[in-house]
Amino acid sequence: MTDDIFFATIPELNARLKKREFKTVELVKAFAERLEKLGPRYNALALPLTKSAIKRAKQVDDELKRERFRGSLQGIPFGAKDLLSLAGHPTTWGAKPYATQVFDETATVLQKLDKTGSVLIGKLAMVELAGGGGYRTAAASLFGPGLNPWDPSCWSGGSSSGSGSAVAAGLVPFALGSETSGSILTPAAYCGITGLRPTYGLVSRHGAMALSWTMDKIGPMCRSAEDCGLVLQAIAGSDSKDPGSAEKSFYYTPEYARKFSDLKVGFASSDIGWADAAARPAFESAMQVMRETGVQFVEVALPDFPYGPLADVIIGGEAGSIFESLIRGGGVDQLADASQAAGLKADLEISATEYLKAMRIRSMLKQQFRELFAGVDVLLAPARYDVAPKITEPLDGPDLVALPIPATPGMRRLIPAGNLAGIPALTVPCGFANNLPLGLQLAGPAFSENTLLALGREFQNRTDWHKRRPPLLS
Amino acid sequence: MTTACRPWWGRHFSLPEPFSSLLSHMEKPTRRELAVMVAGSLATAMAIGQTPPPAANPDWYQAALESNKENSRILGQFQVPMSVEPAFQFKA
Repeated sequence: MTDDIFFATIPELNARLKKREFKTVELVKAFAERLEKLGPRYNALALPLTKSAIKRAKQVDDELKRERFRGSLQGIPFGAKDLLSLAGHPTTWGAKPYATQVFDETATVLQKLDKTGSVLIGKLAMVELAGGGGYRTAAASLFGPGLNPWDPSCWSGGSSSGSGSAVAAGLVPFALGSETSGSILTPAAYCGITGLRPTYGLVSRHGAMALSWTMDKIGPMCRSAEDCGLVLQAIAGSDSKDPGSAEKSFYYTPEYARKFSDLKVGFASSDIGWADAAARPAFESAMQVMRETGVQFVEVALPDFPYGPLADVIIGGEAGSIFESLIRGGGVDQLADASQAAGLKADLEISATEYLKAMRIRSMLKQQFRELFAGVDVLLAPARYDVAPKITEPLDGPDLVALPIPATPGMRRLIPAGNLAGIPALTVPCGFANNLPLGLQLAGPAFSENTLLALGREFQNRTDWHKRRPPLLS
Repeated sequence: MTTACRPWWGRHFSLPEPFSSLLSHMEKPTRRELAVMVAGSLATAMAIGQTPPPAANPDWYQAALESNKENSRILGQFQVPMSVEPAFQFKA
């Protein structure tokens, strides 16, 4: 096997398995060894599962030998963020107080992937408690700072830091991440991979650490939009064990995508002005590629809401309740990031009135997003307006505000806005600035994943940013 | 101008106009006011038999409390009609 295999897409790997160019066991061993060897260099590996993966791979090989095909994910190795429980194995949530925690049940999404014949080769590192208290350093993790394969002096992004690094470095073909407010899109954009945040409720969270019951989502982090569609199809669906389940399935159907010329894409012309100066040429080129797909560009503005404070109050109120015993019992002081511990303690002071006010404003926000999507099908914006910061930089430093400041806020708050609205978003790699990747975000109304994926796939048919490989650590 | 709020995923949030301009007219609570509020919440917690949260680095904790108050003030500006219910539903 050549190194190409480590950067192949899911359909490419599956086709080669079916042609018996190599066995699942060989593929799984190759990835597992690479993950064990290189994962710690990026602080990406929480728990290697090589032994159980090889055992499972042998079963998959038996199925393939009998021509019992289960679909595109059969025989494909993957990694999962360490906030997903795997029966009988440690699930740390990236936090010291939970370093020895073991559950006796496996998360629904991992069970679903197992049924497709894909093979879990490792749990991946994450920011402690998915950043629930508001962290100020990249090192806010039991596993150390997530290092970016494109430049290990830079952060991989969070909170799905290990998932971002591992996919980017070719340690796993795909990974599962989770997002409450930016935790898939940010590491995907910073690491130069494709990430999908599904509609709230489309993917079961049973067996996942709760941070915010009304905002948590689990989604795929992959090499391409097509890979994201295939993984989402496997993990989506109704689950009676998740009270937030939307009781809907998802079938990846690019062949039935709407004609691009019928799609109205909302954008804000001031957006590029908010981006880091070095990133603007890449974003401008990416917007032009999107125009060339034939979609109609429509100037729009996000509804005017205080998205940051809304997300803070809602997530803080819910996280304070979820982690109350950790906070009151003092375990919170074992967290690596003191400001995160303090933030969680302060979450206990958020009143019911404040929380309910935020949730009522959220109802108004939801309505305004419905009205916005009556006029456009997709919103387009940079995923992050800057490249990955250095791991030595405090993450809560002053915002890197563009000068001169654009006249309108554009889509700058699309990540918290989209999370509050519960809508899906896709980020695709769209270029580089200072040798670090940039991502372009596509967001759409609830359950519009197929539209986003079709447009993302078309963008990737016209560009090769998603095929670029980072230089490996020597 | 931008107004920094408590970091969520790590970076400060910056509020879009016109919220940021509204905030520039607002006053932050004084340290004395914050101390009174903290003491009040601790006393309340103890009065109902709960263990108060352990002390953190006072600067971080104070900053987080201050950020909470800032958020509360911002959301307090919103007029929400009585008919608007929270974005979750209880189902019997």
